[in-house]
Amino acid sequence: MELPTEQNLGDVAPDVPWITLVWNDPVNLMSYVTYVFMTYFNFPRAKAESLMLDVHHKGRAVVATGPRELMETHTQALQAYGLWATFQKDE
Amino acid sequence: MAGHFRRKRGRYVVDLDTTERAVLLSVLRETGAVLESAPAAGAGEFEAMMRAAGFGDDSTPPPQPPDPALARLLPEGHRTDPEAAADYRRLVGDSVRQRKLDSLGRAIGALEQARPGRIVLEEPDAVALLVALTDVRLVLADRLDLHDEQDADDIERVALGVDAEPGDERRHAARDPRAALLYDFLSWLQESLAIALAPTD
Repeated sequence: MELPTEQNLGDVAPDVPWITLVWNDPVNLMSYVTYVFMTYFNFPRAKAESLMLDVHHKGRAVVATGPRELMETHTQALQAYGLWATFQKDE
Repeated sequence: MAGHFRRKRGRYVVDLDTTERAVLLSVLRETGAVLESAPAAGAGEFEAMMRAAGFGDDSTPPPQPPDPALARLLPEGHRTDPEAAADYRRLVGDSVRQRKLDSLGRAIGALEQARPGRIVLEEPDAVALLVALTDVRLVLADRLDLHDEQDADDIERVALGVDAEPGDERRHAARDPRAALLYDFLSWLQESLAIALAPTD
């Protein structure tokens, strides 16, 4: 029997990963979004630009996946940069 | 070119005249004031609790409705689940607001020390200004009713003195041309700074 842990008390399936999303906001400049992705996540330029274009054209992009606490931390950091970031279960 | 950052020997240079520098400082300070006006995380709950226990102070004025720009400066962490959003707010507390205030404070300090004309910023101050400019533009965007790309296009029209697209006349007329021009100027300023600061792969 699995003992309750901080992670699986909230989640039905403890292995379900969580994600951090960035949503399109017309105020965020493409150059700035790319800058944040390169600086905060250390993504190479090509990946940062590709994600930025997803945000711009598709309205949103998944920028990270992993445990809930980490996704909340990324959300916090990206919001401090002025991006519209949220987290949720990857479903 | 005025109002355009470029990188020079590891520092970030822009030419701003007296008015441009004053306006930039003014909007940075105003944005700081909006963030300062946000209730500190948990403060509202404590006051509500005190009132419920009969310790309310009738002489204190009722809280002001929050500045609508705050919704854009301090967004929810979860879009659909209010409980997850509340958890996030508890976790994050005041830290996002504080980091934004730190960036603004640093940018204001650096610009206050610089005289109008050629302004040279060290990298940490340039980064602080880059981040702060996003929040300044978010506040202006709220004032200009800017929510989607179409709104951004109309604000360009307002700034240039061009007529509204058919059907957009009412919102177009409500947008202040000086605010639109200022938004434009700040967007250009931020764009040039983001490019100047771009990490080389």
